[in-house]
Amino acid sequence: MSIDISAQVVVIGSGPAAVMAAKPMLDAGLDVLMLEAGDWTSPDFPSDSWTNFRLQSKQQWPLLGSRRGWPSVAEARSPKFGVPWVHQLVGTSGDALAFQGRDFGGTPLATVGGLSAAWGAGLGLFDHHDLADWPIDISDLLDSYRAIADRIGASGTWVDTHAPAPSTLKAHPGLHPSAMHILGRTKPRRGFTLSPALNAVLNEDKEGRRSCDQGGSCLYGCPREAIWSAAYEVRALKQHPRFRLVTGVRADRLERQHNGWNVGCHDGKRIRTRYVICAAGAIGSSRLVLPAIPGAPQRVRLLSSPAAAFALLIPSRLGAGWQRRFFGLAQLQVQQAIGANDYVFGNIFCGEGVPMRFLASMAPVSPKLALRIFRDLVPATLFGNVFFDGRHSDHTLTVLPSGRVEVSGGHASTVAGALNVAAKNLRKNFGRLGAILLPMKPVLAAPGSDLHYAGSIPMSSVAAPGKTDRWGAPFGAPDLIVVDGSVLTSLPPKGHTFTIMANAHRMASYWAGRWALASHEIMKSKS
Amino acid sequence: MNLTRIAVTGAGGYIGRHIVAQLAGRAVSMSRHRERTTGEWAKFDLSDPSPELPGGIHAVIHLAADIRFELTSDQELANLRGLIAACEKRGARLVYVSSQSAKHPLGEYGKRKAAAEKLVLDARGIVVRPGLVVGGRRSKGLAAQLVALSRMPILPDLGPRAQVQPIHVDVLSAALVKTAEAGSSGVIELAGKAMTLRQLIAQFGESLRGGAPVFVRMPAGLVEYFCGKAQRGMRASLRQMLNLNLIEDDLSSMGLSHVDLRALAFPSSRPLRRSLASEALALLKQVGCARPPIGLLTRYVRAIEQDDRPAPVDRRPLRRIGPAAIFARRQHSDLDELRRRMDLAFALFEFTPQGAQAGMRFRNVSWLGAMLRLAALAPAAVLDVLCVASSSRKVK
Repeated sequence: MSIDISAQVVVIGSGPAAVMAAKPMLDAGLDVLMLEAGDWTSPDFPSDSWTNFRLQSKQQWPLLGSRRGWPSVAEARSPKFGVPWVHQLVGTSGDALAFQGRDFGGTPLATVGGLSAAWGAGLGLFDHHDLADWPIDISDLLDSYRAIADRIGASGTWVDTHAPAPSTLKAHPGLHPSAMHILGRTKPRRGFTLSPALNAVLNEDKEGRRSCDQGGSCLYGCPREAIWSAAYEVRALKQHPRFRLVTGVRADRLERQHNGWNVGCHDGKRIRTRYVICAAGAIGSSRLVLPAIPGAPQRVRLLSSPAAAFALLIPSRLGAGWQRRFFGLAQLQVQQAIGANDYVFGNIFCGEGVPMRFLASMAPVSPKLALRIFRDLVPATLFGNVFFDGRHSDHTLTVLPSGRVEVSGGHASTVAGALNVAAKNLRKNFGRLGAILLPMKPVLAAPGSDLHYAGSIPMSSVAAPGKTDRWGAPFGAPDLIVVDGSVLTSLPPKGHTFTIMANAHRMASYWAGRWALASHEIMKSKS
Repeated sequence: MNLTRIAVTGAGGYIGRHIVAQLAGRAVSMSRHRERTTGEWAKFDLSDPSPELPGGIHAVIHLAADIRFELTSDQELANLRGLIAACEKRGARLVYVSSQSAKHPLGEYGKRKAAAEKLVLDARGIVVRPGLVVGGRRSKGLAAQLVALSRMPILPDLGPRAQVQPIHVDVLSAALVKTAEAGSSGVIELAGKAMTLRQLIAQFGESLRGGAPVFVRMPAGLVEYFCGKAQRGMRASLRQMLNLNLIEDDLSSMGLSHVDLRALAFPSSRPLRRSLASEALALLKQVGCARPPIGLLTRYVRAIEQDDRPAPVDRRPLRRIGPAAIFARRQHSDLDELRRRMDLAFALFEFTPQGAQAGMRFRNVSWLGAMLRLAALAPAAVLDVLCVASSSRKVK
């Protein structure tokens, strides 16, 4: 058996969880090797303002990418996924990562930066209700939330009753007149919270990245790097002398060895390592970790947030013209109770930056007519999505004997009722703010298509194969931790990337000192 | 007096009957079973491995064709080889009645005809390509339906900008007889002056009842709703017209050709590219781009050509159930590819300065002005919503 590379710590994946876990390891003095199946990808976005670019450039088609791998626009219900190159990334990654979905639109993303290459940069703060079933307490996450917000740069409203906002938090970079219109009328109301969205977006220059100037290309990417991506962290980590990055290599197997692991790669390479940090995303990590745990089930539940899209028409704003400069990610965040112990969470966007083909696919008229209608409606309309709790999903993740991973299943039967209540409550509450919720009958997005899925190897206070302890270590597999969405015990409706990052940071900080100490002792005993 | 004896296959059909009448006793109808034919008959089974012509035959007019696709392409060609061999054995001239669709064979029908033409020409036979055959008492198919429609006082103007080259069945039969008597090997195009379907209906109306129908523009979705599931009569004919549009294969199999000068201007001699270009034109028009620059067409064609098996998509549902119902469709169905292509056309158009301008308005207008602008779009929107609603009822 040949060993091609060896390392003290191998981090599998290069997404938000991976970079948050890698940093404490380096800080503790450990060598880190990061494995990424994809490569550096960056969309071609204009350096001019989005509006000027759109009105003038004859070179816009490269933004569409190749048609190969486009899922149909009608299958995506988030404005972000109306963006073709995101489509393309999603469409081509599944195969590269040995993933197949049955009636499941989600897929791991094979690119440096992982899911943050395609995210809406919304930061969701969990509270103690959200963590009701978790073996950890909200106080365990708060420090990490604040540390990460400082590190990546955040702007918007910190809606949290547990702790004050970090001092580096900036105001939302640019609210659209329509967003201000409904926000200005908002009064405190039971079960309904509307506020400027909390985003991982710079509203002040920071370490080479420049602050948001409302250029508007946000859904496609930011030429100023105001929108945080894990790829920027990877770029920074690469400067570290004990950090190595290997791209284009997919980890396929974890084999337990005496005092460590062998990581088998798709190209036949083997990497010998003392410790493994699995951060390949819920699907990618399950594929690696479940077969490596003695006695673990190979069929597990995968939590996935059902999502629905809606529009808010503000009739009194009719006649307003388009904004030439605008902020294209979430303007507002909304939380709406839909029962004693359940709620939905949504992000609201302005229409200027959303691809027209996405808007048109939502209207029951011909595309030609939709173009003319939205031309007048967009400045008076906001577009949003709402996410439901992962308990409204019924998905199964299976690691097949071939080593491929398959996700099947669909929405749980409870979701139809939840959707109706959500639509009713939101319609009522937005109605009070002078906005009409459309469509009259919201439709759920295809399962998985919004990439909100997690919880396949959940943290548990009860030791069982296929679960991890509160520090992300799977029961029965030493020297291995899982730090990504796989370990979420439940999947609340809020965006979960921030919590995944905070959790990864928390876990890695716990292990870094211990592993560094153990390595130090081995070195000592050898000498 | 000409004593040439001419055998006719498919003599019981629409054209066949006219030829038999024209030949007045010189015709020998050849078929497997005696049926529906008048005059002299001889048994001749095309599926026989080595069939024999009856004696004293100078020429064969081959009209019989498997229009219902009951045979495989290979079987049909094998039958033709048998007939060719039989003709060569007797030194009889073979006149093969082909179709305009053999010119640019895209569909199954056109491909079969093209392959058959090659066999015939290789054996020094004669190929005749008629246009849309009209006239006579028992005209069939499209022509008969056009005649039926021409009796209506008012008709919906549904396009299609498809053009036909009509030829009267008597003229065609006479030409076929002459060819059989004294033609030499080659391809003969027997098609009249090109005209649109609407012009042809008007001509029928004028010659049959002294006046053309009045054409009124209306959305295809409504017409289809009116036609319902009618199997016969005027409503069925109208539905047939709705289905008639735009697909080159089907059009050419009926002697029609879809003529769009800008598509012809597309700089390519490859039939696939030309038909994709005309698809691009049609779909771009559906997404609001009435005059696409040539670069946009090229981009569309190239994008489709990246597919594993690039081929034109069936665009007839655009008229049948309407662009709104296709674009808004969520469920998987056989319309997915058409929707994807509309989506492609939309995306390509949107990402041009022209497309961006079409979708943005920066000037503020008064609230009332905005309401009036929207109100002006309301009737079209209501029609679209009706189309979507009626189609989602029909296609679950």
